[in-house]
Amino acid sequence: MIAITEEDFNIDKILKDAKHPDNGAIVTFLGIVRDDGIVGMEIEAYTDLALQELDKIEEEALERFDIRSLDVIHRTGTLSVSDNILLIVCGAPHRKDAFAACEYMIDELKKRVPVWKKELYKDGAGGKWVGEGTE
Amino acid sequence: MIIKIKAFARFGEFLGKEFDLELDSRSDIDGMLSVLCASRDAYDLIFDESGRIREYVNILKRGRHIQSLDGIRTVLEDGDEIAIFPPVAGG
Repeated sequence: MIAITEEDFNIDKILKDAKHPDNGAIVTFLGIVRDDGIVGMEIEAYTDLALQELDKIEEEALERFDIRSLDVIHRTGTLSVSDNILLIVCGAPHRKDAFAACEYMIDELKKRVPVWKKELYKDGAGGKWVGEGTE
Repeated sequence: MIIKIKAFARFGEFLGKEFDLELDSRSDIDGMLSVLCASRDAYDLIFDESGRIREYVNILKRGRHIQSLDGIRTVLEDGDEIAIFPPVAGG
């Protein structure tokens, strides 16, 4: 499953669905909002293109690694400290491919998928977009 | 002709997040930016001191980067969707 949504995700259900009989390992990456002196984050996506790019990266991961399932869910909207941002779940017969595919997915996502984060400050003085050209 | 503009992150705050823009037929990206960057702040956001589009500015026509088309000479058509955004920062 590839998704971009404002809704929080049910990690237990996604993990349960990833327990395919062929899988002997499931590696999960969960990105959450870190308290860098902020109250939260606003996350924005160019959804149509982001989904297309996630599909491409998923295809690449399936070609490169022996994995049998891959789920990626990226949230958008206004999130608080410790809220879930991103979930990647890679299921594979063996752990090395599961770890490698999960790392590939997050690394490529960060480089290629059109999503942006704005840090929201405690003093209510607006916020700051993360990354070059965004601040 | 009318094209749809989608601008993201800080660019959306300066230019407007999503709106229709009316242009003369056969306009190109350069002409579109002239209209979009009428204010000094918007111009400085997109262009550097020498008048070139800043390296971190991404402009896509119907999902394709203009660098893979004809750059700022890319001709626009009625109904085109143009996306303008800074480097991605998700995850």
